[in-house]
Amino acid sequence: MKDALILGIESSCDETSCSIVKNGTTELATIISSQIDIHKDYGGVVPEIASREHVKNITIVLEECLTEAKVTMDDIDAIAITYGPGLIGSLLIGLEAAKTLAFIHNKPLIPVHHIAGHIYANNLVRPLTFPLIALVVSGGHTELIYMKENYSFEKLGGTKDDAVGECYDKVARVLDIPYPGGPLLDKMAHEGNATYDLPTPLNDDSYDFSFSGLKSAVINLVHNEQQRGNTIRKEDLAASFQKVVVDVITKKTIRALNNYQVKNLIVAGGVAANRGLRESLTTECQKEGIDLTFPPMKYCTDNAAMIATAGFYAYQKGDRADLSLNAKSSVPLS
Amino acid sequence: MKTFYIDTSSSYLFAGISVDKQLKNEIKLKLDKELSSFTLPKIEELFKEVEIEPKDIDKILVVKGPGSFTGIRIGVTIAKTFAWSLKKEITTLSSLEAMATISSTDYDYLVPMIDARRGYVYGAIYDRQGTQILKDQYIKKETLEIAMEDLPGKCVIITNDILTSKFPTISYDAQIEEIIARFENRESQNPHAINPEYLKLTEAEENKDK
Amino acid sequence: MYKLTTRNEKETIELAQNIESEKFPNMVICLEGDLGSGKTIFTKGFAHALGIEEDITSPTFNIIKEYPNGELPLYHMDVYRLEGRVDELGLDEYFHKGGVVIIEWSDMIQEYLPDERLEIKIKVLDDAEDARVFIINPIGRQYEELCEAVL
Repeated sequence: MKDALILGIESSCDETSCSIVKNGTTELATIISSQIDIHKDYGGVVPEIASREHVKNITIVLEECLTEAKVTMDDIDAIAITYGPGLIGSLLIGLEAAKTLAFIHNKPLIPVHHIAGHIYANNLVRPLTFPLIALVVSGGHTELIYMKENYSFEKLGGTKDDAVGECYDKVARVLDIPYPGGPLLDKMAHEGNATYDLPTPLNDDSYDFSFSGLKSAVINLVHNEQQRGNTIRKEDLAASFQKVVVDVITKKTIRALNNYQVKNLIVAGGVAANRGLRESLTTECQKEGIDLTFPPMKYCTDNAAMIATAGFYAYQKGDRADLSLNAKSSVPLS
Repeated sequence: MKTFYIDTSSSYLFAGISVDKQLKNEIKLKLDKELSSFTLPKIEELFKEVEIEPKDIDKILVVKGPGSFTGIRIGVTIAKTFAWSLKKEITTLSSLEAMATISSTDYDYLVPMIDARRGYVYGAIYDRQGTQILKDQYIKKETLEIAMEDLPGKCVIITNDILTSKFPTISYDAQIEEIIARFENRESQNPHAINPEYLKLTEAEENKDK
Repeated sequence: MYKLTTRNEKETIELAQNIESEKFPNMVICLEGDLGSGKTIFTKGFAHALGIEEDITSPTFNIIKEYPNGELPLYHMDVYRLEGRVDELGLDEYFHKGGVVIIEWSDMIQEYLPDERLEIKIKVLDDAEDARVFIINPIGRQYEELCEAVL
């Protein structure tokens, strides 16, 4: 098959990002708005670049990307765009830019689901093998997905309230840890012991999760201890909280792997960086003989490389959108 | 010069292509919520119908605001991406300037108004030659009407919103040929610098940046 | 100003459903209360009454979540992450789209709220974990009438 260069654009929430990936495996360039040093080339044209300032960022990020990859729009075979889920106002900017490029350069437009992107980020590390189970854990999403074959998705379950990343940030707030508190909470958990009693949420046979009750339990516990005049040992509370979260996620993930007789587990999304989760899944997967992949951090947070990668397989499969493609704040993966 | 015009700052899509100041094709469609889906398909039709290609365009003229927040961003994103990618000239105008561009009129003063709710409007005052008398601003409708009373001539309000007034009111039907002819020679800018101008809503927002 | 107490989640949901029964287009409900006070639970109850079948998940990360398929569209916002900076969000437009807007942590964006709205402060009681005190302040005639009818 001929080489295909896919331009991916992602603006579903905070970041404006563009990337060029060849054949779904080789990343030529990825630019993310919060990481760009605009002053060197653009000082004076745009007073500041901030995350979420998508209209200000979009052409700059596109230009940096093409320049770094040393390609022009003529070299691009198709444009992959995140159409959802996410914040509609943000999604729209990337979408209109992608549609404009598709129109003026007469290129195919490939719609990509943000979560499909997270899953395919792993393909940049090593090719995905099927069937697989994907655990997507991020600030905004918590889902278990079954993939029987390439680019075929079945959502097994997900959170009914807070995403695991959101829950971490909220519990961190309760402990007076500044936003985003997730990573620090993870670190503290390793410095403490799971001595506090917290309930396991949704401890059932489903593949769904629920974290808001756990958040409430932490709040109530802190409140009660304070009432009794006890000092909260923050590291122990972090450890207790993390243990409950990691245990329920691990348990349900392993159950899914066994029930679907799958030997491949992909973890995706920002919370994939969590040490506690990595340790727990690594241990259990070793026991069960399951092949486990964690992506490097740069692919865990929102970025367009994952969209350009997923976009390649969608392109191969024949997924196309026309210029009337609209942004969707929530959309099912399958 | 071939110019492409786009205005999505309201619930309408106004777009057009002119060649040497002659309008070849235009769109005037009320799209509302469908703006984000159908703007680009309609623009594609606009070009196809007159067999002009995007790369043939020399300059882009885009309305940068004020008006609908979401609408403005759609037009600005399309215009700047087009200009940047095909290395075309681009310049902007305000929605109020566009609204005040009427080829002939019985009135001495043209007052475009966009409803900004709670008794406020985005408004400005122009004379019939197109000279700006009062700059674009977010202003209490009453205050603007008082300013209109002080003018030595007949005033007309131009708006597509429902704004009651003792002054005569006409609806805004974009005179795209005139708009392009009047504004296409405005100084071009770097596409990266083409951004929405919402006209700050509240002092609070301005204070936050201090 | 109205004050009532709910003893558990179920009663909070019932309160939300009662308020929903008097809904109207462009209704804006502002929810203030600490973490864990039940802002999202209230919203879930309201959404369920609107006939929305999807799970109402936290909008903390995404800021605005849109649910178009209920009797009226529901726009569920959590502005905590904005830290008062409303940026490019076009919040104002949501207040006029003909749906119901529910804003969590609305106290952080006081200046951007519409003149007429339903303000609900949720307080947790010291001695009863599951109970909540709702302090409801209708601002504007439509909201005053709603409260008279429902509370």
